[in-house]
Amino acid sequence: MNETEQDNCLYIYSILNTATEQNLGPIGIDDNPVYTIVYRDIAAAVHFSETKPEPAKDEQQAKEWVFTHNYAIDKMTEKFGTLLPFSFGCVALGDDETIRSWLQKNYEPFKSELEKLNGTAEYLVQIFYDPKILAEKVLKDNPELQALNAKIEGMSRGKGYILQKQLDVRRDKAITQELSNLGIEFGKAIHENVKEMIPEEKKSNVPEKFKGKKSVITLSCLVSNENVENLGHVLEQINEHEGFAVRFTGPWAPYSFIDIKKDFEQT
Amino acid sequence: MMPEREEDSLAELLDRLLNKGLVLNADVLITVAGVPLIGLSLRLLAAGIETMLEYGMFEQFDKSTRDWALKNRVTSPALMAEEETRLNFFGSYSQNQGKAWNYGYMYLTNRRILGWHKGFNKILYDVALKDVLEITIVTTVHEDKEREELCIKINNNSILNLHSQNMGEVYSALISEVHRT
Repeated sequence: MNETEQDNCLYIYSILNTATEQNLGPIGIDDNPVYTIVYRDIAAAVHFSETKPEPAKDEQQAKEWVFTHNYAIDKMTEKFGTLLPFSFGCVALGDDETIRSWLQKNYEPFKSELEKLNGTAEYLVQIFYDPKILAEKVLKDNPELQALNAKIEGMSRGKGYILQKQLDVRRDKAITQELSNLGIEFGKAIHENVKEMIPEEKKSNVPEKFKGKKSVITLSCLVSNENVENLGHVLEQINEHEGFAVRFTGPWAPYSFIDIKKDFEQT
Repeated sequence: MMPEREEDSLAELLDRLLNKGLVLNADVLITVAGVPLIGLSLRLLAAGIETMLEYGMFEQFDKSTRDWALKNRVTSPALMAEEETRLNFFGSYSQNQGKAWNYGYMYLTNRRILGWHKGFNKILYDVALKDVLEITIVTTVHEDKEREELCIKINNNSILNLHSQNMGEVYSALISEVHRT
């Protein structure tokens, strides 16, 4: 690469609502100062680097970067309201003018997305169940299974084996049925209090607190600020259901609800 | 109950920050090696699956493709003289009713419709508009979902299927270009 060629880079954190160029302080990765590059009434929040970023030295540093990226997003949300968060690690080659002309080119999709998300935040809802408690419950509720269970108890182990297998299969079926009934009920109640929700396909991790439980469903929810309390009530009721537990985390910047990629692809 | 932020867990942050959120439009700006790669290595650590070997291979591959892309940035396919782009869009295509669908940038010009692979600057297929016999929109089932596809019959008995977000626009642009030629 020849020496006159510039390697100036801008690390991008978010697109947000503001018409003022301002310094947001050293909240960026490696304590870099973050500032806004404005076009009309929207801005990109970035930090400047003279050189292209090097890969992290080790896992520890990489972790710190991820946490800092998220911290910077939180700080900006406090100040500017709902914003469009960038994925970790988006670096633009160029200077402020590059970014400004990019904002200009994509002004409409950015602005309409900001308006759509205004006054909302993302929350994560995970519902867990305890398989043991649910197994007891379906047995209690189902006289046929009870009768079968009683019969087995009176038998020798060899004779009871086949019947035991039968019981297991039928009980598992009853559990699945119970879960799907409740799932529909819970889903409806949650849906009434969110603007949008996306089921997370990936098996999310089960935190320590919920060990031994199984995940029924994990939902990313976009919730209006005034509806968070209502959603909390609904989740409280689910949480009080015997054998169920709910994890409710947030607020997060609306990472899961940005719908701009397709606008890009068409331009 | 009220939402909590607990101790922000790394696994959860990674899922959000690496797999979601806005990304840069490659047409305008270029993401450089380095930081995104860290994302990759962290993701692998978090998932706890991939072997170091696989990661190493990927890193090499990723770096060399990125370097190559930086040096050879091409922003559109080479066209013939007096050929003008009428419409371009991102989409997928399949040839001769094959099952395989490939992605690419599609260009409708006053002479051809062609698919272009940006990374390798390669023409994936091209069909002269004067060879187009018939254009129809068909509804098919793709990966368990119904969707509309464009079915283009060509006079050498081959068939080209196209799909993109804006099927209607592509259809009408293609029809009007074909009629013009």
